[in-house]
Amino acid sequence: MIDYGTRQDGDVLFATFTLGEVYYEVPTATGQTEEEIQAALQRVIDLHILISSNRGG
Amino acid sequence: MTVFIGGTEITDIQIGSTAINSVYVGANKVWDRVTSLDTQTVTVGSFNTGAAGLTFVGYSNTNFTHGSISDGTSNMFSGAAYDAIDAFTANSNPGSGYNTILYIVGNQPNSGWTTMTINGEAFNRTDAGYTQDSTTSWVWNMRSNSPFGTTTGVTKQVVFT
Repeated sequence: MIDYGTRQDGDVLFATFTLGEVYYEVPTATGQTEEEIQAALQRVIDLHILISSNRGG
Repeated sequence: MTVFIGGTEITDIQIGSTAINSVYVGANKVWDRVTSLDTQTVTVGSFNTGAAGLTFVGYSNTNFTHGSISDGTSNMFSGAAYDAIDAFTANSNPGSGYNTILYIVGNQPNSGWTTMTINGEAFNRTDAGYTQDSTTSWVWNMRSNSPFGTTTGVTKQVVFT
């Protein structure tokens, strides 16, 4: 379970969290469940790791 | 405010050589010219990281350089370099579609621009996953096609508003 905060950006509420020295934000949607937000957070972490490893970073 | 003729959005209106910035119907404004913050021309390149990896299509400047970019510095972030404007697909599942990514060097805020339009296809900033590291990235969820297409050597315009 990722312990996240939130940030409002106009009409969009972002879920925010920091892992190590990396800061993440994921947009949320009205009616989205906690499980869906957690999945979106995990997906952005996984994508960052996937892209970084493929880019050699 | 957008105006379409058929399925085509009108982005430029001129009378002779004079650019029109707003259009009214009676007292109601129905169109405003969108002023771009930055425009880049990407010459599309491609890079395949291997059978179990990813195929990128677009522009990247880090580690495996592919494609090129006209100017390469961001007007939104005080001239910070574009590290990548790219799309990628998983080689293990090439029919699954493409994620689109924007990488800008440095710790940049998730603000200062609204939409990145690649070859007419819009990517809203607030729809993207955002990662702030030594390079800042925006990642959009998978779409069926690459906004850069898959043909290398062609140019695509990228407009930030």
